[in-house]
Amino acid sequence: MADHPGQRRCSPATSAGMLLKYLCEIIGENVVTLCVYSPIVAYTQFQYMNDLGTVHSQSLQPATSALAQPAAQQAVALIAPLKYAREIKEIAQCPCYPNYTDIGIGYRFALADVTDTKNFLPLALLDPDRTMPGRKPITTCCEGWSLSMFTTLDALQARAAKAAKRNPKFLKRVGDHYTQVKLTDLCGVQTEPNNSGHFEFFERATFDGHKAVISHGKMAL
Amino acid sequence: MMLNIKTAPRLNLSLLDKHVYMSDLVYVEGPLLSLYRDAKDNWLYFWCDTDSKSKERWLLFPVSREDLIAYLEAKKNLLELVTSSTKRWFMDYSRISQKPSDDSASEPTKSYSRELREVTDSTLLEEYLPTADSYFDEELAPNISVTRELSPKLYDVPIDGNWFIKDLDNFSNLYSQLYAFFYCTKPQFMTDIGSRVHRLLEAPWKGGFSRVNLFDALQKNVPAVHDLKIHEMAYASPGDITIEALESVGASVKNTVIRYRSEITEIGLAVRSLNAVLSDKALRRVDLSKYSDLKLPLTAQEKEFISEKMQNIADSLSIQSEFNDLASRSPNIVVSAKVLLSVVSRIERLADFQAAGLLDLERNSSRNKDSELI
Repeated sequence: MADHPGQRRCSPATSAGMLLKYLCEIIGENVVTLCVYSPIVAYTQFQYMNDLGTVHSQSLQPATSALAQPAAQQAVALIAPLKYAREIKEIAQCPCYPNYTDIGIGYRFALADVTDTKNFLPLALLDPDRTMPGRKPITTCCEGWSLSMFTTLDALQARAAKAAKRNPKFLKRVGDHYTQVKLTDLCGVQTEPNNSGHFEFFERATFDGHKAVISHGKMAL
Repeated sequence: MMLNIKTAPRLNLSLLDKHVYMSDLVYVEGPLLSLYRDAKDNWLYFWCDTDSKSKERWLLFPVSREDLIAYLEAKKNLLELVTSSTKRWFMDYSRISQKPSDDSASEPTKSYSRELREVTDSTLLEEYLPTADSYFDEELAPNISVTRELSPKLYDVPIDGNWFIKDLDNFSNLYSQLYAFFYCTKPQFMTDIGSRVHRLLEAPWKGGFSRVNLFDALQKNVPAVHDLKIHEMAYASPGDITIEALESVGASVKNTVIRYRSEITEIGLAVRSLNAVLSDKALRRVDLSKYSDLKLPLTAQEKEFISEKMQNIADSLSIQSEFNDLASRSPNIVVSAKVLLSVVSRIERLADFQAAGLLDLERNSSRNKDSELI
C-alpha cells in the first residue's frame, strides 16, 4: 500500500499483523487505527475508529475468520484515539503522514525535575496564549498538539547546541535535561523523522509520558 | 531571574502597530528568530530570555534588505545583524492571570501585557548576544527555502506620455496589488505563503469589501525585502520607473498586461459570462467561503461552466500555474471566480495605462538584466 496522509503503516505479517493489514486494506486510507470491542464478535463484525475519534462499524470478510483465535485476540487489543483528537480535528492534514510508533525510543527536552508535568505537555497546552502579534495561534497549529522528539540523544543535543549558539538562554526555555522515552505501537503516531532525527509524536489518550520514561539526565553540550 | 532593564527608556507600543509577522528564521521548540515587516522595513524579533513562568523577552531590530539577504545566504551572522543595527528595542511580553469575579463560576482568564524599551546601553545586550558562528541554518527554519529567488533586482517599467499625479497614484496602487497577487501565487522563500493565502480566501467573500481586503492582505504578505521599492524615476518621453523588487514577479505583471491586450476579446467574453452566472444566481453578495463545491447552490453544469470560463481566462492570460495555485487554496469555485475576476479587473485597469500611452511595456529596457542589486 502506498503512503497517504492519514494512512496507517501496517504491521509485519504476523498472524495478528495480517489481521491488522487486512483491516487497513478494507478500511482504506482515512483510517489509521482500529478498535475491536470483543474478540468473539471480531470474527464477523467489528467497530473501528479513526484517530479523530469517529466510530464506524464494518463486517469482516470470510477470509479473516480463518485466523486462529489467539491471533485475533492479539489483534483486537484496544487502540485508543489520539489524546488531543478533539483539538486537532479542525486542523487540516493533522497529523500529517503519521506512522506507527515503530521508532522504539524517543528523546525529548526536559526540566531538571523529571516529574514536572510540563515535560510532557504539547506547546498548545504549555502556553496556549503564547503568540506574537500576527502569528497564527499555537492552538491552531498541528505541531502545537504534538510532543517534539528526536531519534537519538546526540541529535537532541546537537539541536540544543545549535539553538543555544543563536539564543544563549535557550535552555531556560526548554530545560537543560533530556528524557529517554519508550514508544510502542500503542503510544501514538509519529511523523517521519527528518534528516536531523527530529519527529513529532502525537500521543494516544492512554499514553502517560512519565510512565514511559526510561532515563533522565542532564544534557552534555 | 531575568536581567533588569528598567533603566532603559520606555517606548510607546503604538510603534509596533504596523508590524506584521512574516515567518520564522529560527524555530526550535517555538520561534527563536522571526521575520516581521512594518510599512517599509524588515524587522527581526530575536528571542532573548524567559523567567520560566510568565514573561518572555524579545529584542526587536530593523534589518536592511542587503543585510537580510546576506544573513539568509550565510554571508553574515546573527551577531553582526544585532550589533550593527542602529535601532534596538526590548519587548517584554508577560502573561497576566486574572481572577474571576466572585459571582462567576468561570475559569480564570488570561491576558498579556507588553512593554517596549529602547536599548540605549549596549551592555544590556551582552548576555543575549549570539555567537560569531550563528549563521542562518535552513534546518532550523522549516518554512524557509533559500533555493528560491532571494535577491531583489532592478528592473524598468517603461513609461511614456503625460502623467498626472493621480495617474502615478492609480498606477502604483494597481501595480502593487498585482505584484502582491503574483508574489503570493508563486513559490517563494517563505514556503508557507500558500497557507496564508488559503486563510485569506476563507474570509467572507461578498460585495467589494473583501476584494479590497484581499489585496491589502496580499500586500502585507509580501516581506519587506521583496516589496516594491522605487529606485529611480526618469520622467521623459520615453522614460522609465526603475523598481527594486523580484524581477520574475515584475515580469509576470508585465506579461499579463501584454497578454490581456492581445486576448482582450476572448477574455472580455469569459468575464461577462462569469459575471452573468454570479449575478443570475445572486452569488455576488453571498458569503460562500465556508462551503465546498459540493454544497454550492449551483448545478453540476453551472459549476462546469464556471470552471471552463475561468480556465479560458487563465489560458488567455497565460497564468495557469498561478490560477491553479489560487484554485487549490480557494474553498470553492465561486470564491476562485470572484478572486480571478478582481485580478482581471486590475489587469484591465493597468492595460488602460498601456492603451493611453502612459506605459510602454513592450519597449525593451536598456538596463543590464544581469545587474543584481544585492
